[in-house]
Amino acid sequence: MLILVSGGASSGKSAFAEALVGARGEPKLYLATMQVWDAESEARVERHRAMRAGKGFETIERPADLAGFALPEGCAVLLEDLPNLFANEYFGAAGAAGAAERVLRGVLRAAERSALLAVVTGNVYAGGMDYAAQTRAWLAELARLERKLAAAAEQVWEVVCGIPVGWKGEAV
Amino acid sequence: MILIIGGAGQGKLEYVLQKTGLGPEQVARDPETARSRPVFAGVEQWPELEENELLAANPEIILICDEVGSGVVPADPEQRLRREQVGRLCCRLAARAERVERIFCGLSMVLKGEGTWN
Repeated sequence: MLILVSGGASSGKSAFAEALVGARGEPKLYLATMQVWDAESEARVERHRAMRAGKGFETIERPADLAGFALPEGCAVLLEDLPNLFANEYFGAAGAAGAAERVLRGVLRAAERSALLAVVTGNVYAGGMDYAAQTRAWLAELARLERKLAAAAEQVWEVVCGIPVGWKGEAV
Repeated sequence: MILIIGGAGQGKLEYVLQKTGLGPEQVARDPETARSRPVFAGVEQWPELEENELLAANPEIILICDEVGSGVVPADPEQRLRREQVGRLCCRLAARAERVERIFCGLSMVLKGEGTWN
């Protein structure tokens, strides 16, 4: 089962997604996409790690090529986060061409193998489009990718100041 | 405390004034003034707001805050930090609020609280 969780910066989306996965009885995996390269990203990782502490998550770092990863079957999985994974894929060695398809394939395959896959994504589409051309192109592809995932997902949530708003599924 | 959020220019303040019958002169724009006014607008300008202190002084206040976290993550670390501070502040405020509404095109969606307001 696939659940998509979106929201703005520091909206409480991770905590909500983590609670969804944390409530499951299956072994819990945390698929971390962020590449740590400075003190800020280190602090971010540390904050999220503290949030998950003692909740039985096993962390797997997978910044790119999710499609090529043999995810253990039957787990409850938290993937954090989609914009990051897509940026690593799009701007990484494998290149922008076909990046969205690779990520889509990877996420759908991971969802098939999991009891639950919660994907955290970011609502990054409402700050104007005053970005470099490359960023705009990335953003447009991310949005298309996200819509495809939302169409495939059983539930879609937007978290607003820590409050989950249901867009699709059970909650609506 | 009531928390009203939404994008810039969506009609949050107008909505609050209409709901409460208050006038613009009763709206605080900084935390100091907010201690003794019924409404504090522009909370997003104060990402380091000490909400404990403000709410102890004015527990019934209506707080109005722009949502600022829905663009691409800014390259500038200071901007990045600011919008995260505002986001976390809103999470804390929403958890304590008796009512949270989100204003979109002048329309309200109740995120927390029972029934209609006023």
